[in-house]
Amino acid sequence: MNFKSKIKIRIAAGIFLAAIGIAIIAIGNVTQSDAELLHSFGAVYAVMGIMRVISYARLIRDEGAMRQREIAENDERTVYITMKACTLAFSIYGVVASAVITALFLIGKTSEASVVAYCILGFMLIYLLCRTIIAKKS
Amino acid sequence: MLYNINVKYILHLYYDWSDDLKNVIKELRKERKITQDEFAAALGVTRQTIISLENGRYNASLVLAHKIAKFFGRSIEEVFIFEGE
Repeated sequence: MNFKSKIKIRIAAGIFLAAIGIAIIAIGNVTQSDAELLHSFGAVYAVMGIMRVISYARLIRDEGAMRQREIAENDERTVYITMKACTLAFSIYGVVASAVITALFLIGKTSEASVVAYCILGFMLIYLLCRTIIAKKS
Repeated sequence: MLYNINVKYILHLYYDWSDDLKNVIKELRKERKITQDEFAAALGVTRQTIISLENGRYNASLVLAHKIAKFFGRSIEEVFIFEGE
């Protein structure tokens, strides 16, 4: 798949995101309950979607800018930095979350500690699943 | 001092920085009289990657090393010099 096709898919995703946002706003208008919350969520989704569409549509019209973007996204150092940053962030998250669990247990907030612990467990399971898939393909 | 050593040690756990691998990219590029921007465009990478390679902060992948060597008409061993054992 060439980069132009990828951009077109991203534009479609932006339109979809904006449509979801508008739908959430509409639901907020109809249901009346939690209308403020739904309007806020809907507005965020809609604005994010519209911004994506505008930025990618601008990119698709400018061949030079699109080539620059393609280089920036596929640059091996950028990919390397992203991967390493994710690894480092994951490790730090593990340490911080473990400390938070311990602190919550010590102050008697066991249910909150369980939530954080399940978050870590879920993260670990997703990591192991991704690792297995990548290992099989490598 | 101790802080610097620890930071470097921790970062080495996450980054594949190697002090043993040197390169002569900067010299070869200057020989050819091309800018970092032109060189980056020819290789399909960002200028920042070229800066990091020239400063020895980043080691190129095998594919990029091949492209660089081919660009200069040299072998990989001539461009990237491994000084370790």
